Amino acid sequence: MTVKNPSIINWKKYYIGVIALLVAEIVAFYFITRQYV
Amino acid sequence: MHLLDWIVLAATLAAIVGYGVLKTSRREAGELLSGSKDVSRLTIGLGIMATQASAITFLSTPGQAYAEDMGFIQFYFGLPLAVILVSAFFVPAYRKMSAITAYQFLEQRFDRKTRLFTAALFLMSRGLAAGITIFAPAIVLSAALGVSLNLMIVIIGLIVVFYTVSGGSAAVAVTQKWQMLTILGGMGIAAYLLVDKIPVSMPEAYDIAGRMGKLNIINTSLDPGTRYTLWSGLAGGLFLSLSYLGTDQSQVQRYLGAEDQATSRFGLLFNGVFKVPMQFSILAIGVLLFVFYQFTQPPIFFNESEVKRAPMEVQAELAELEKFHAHSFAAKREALLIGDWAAVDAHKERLAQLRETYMSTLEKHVPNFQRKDTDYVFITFVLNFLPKGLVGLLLAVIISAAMSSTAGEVSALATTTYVDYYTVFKGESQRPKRTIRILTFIWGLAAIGVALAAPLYENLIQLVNVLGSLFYGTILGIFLVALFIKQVNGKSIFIAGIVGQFTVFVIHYLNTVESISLGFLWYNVIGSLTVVATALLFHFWFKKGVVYS
Repeated sequence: MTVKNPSIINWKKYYIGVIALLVAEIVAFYFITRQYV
Repeated sequence: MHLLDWIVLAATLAAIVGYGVLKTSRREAGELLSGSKDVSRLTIGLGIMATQASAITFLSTPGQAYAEDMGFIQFYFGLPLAVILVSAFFVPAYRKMSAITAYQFLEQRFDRKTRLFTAALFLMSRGLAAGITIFAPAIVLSAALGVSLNLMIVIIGLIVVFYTVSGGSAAVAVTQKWQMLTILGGMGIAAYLLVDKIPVSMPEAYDIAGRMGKLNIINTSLDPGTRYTLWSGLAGGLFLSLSYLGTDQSQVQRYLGAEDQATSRFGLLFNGVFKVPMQFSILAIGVLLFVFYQFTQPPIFFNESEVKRAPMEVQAELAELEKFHAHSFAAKREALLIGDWAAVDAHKERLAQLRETYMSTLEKHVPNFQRKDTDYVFITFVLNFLPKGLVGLLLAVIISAAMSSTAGEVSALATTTYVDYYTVFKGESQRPKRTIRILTFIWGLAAIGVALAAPLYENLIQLVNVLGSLFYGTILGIFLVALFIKQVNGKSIFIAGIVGQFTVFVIHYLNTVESISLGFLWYNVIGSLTVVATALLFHFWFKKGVVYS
């Protein structure tokens, strides 16, 4: 699907998704680190 | 190297470069500058990633995880946040004025001298970095393949110059997509083969890596001298990535090459999603290499070309140390297999001592001996343990990475020189295609020249990052004021830019002479904030002067 008009895209949804993924990654990495400290 | 590997290497590189040249041979001048508008989101996303990921990324990063741990991943935590800010604020500002370079925006917002000052900072830092992007992998490849360093630099440099001059930014975009796909495919195959060669199960390999400290990923230390922490990664990494993605023409050119704003934004968000997992995977390859070398004896020192430089009279001493090393390694492996961790630790200590003695011996007898061998860990595995044909493919991966980032940089340097200097001082060229090609050729040769002249440096990947951090903070500060503090004018920002740059140089000098200890990622934060604060200070000062007069 090609979206030509940027105004119809809800960018906030994408930005929240990117931040949520980063937070999930940091939490996962934190628990991996804690396992062997 | 086997003939089959040379064939695979040459065919892979020729196919990518040939495709790029053929696809872009009849392009207009505008496409040489900003790329073709008919590129997809995937091409934009992979192009941004390919410009960032130089060959050094693939050579040094696994070595860093092998020698230390996975803490380097924290450096990338600021990137997804930066992607969001660039997508939300920088992209609309550039697209609104149909900018080709980021620095055009500064003339519209402030004045010409601020545009020229910022473009000059970019040309200086990126011009040097382009040379390092060729030089760094060339040292490793030349040592590993036994080819002369200068020949290696010239070969990589000339291939890049050839297709970048021919197709400009458009050729960079189409070749980068295939280069990035080759890189991802090649690294995936390397990871699969490593897993296959490790004699224990994956949960056991994970446990070994964890017990030996390789799974230290997050460091919450507040010590500013610690290079990679969660905080320096989030704050310093955010400022560095924001500066890189938002103001460095080699990145801006990739997403401004899109047909519309949505495509530019999706290309950026692609990076926000995949960058951290990609770097994590490369570090994970380093950890897998570490586990692999717990069961297969590694060389005592990975850079064999340095060992070969040792004079004959110390060879016997080195051989003796190697014998002890082999003996201790076998004992450690036995202990590891039966799970005797106390014995493992004792043998590990002994192996570290032997390695230190080995390096000290080399240091005493080899002039300008390079102690750091982590950049050779991955390539040593590739050359010694991959099947015929795949060695050629993995070398194509590393050379592709060198070419994709250098091409992105050279093309951006030429575009900035043409748009921000040539057209400003001489007006539009009568023959723009020819002028842009000549500028690309000159910058390509300059990059090769820097690479040929570059002295050896302790850690390659950090050299490029430190170089970027010296200038990026100031450049970002100028753009932040341009976008978010509407009241500040050209006069205040120009002085603030000079003050910011001077401050970063002073801090770097104090760090170099060890008067202070500060991770280089903080330079970006300090440079940006100094510019913003100074600009505000001068703004109010000048305003006050106007009121009183």
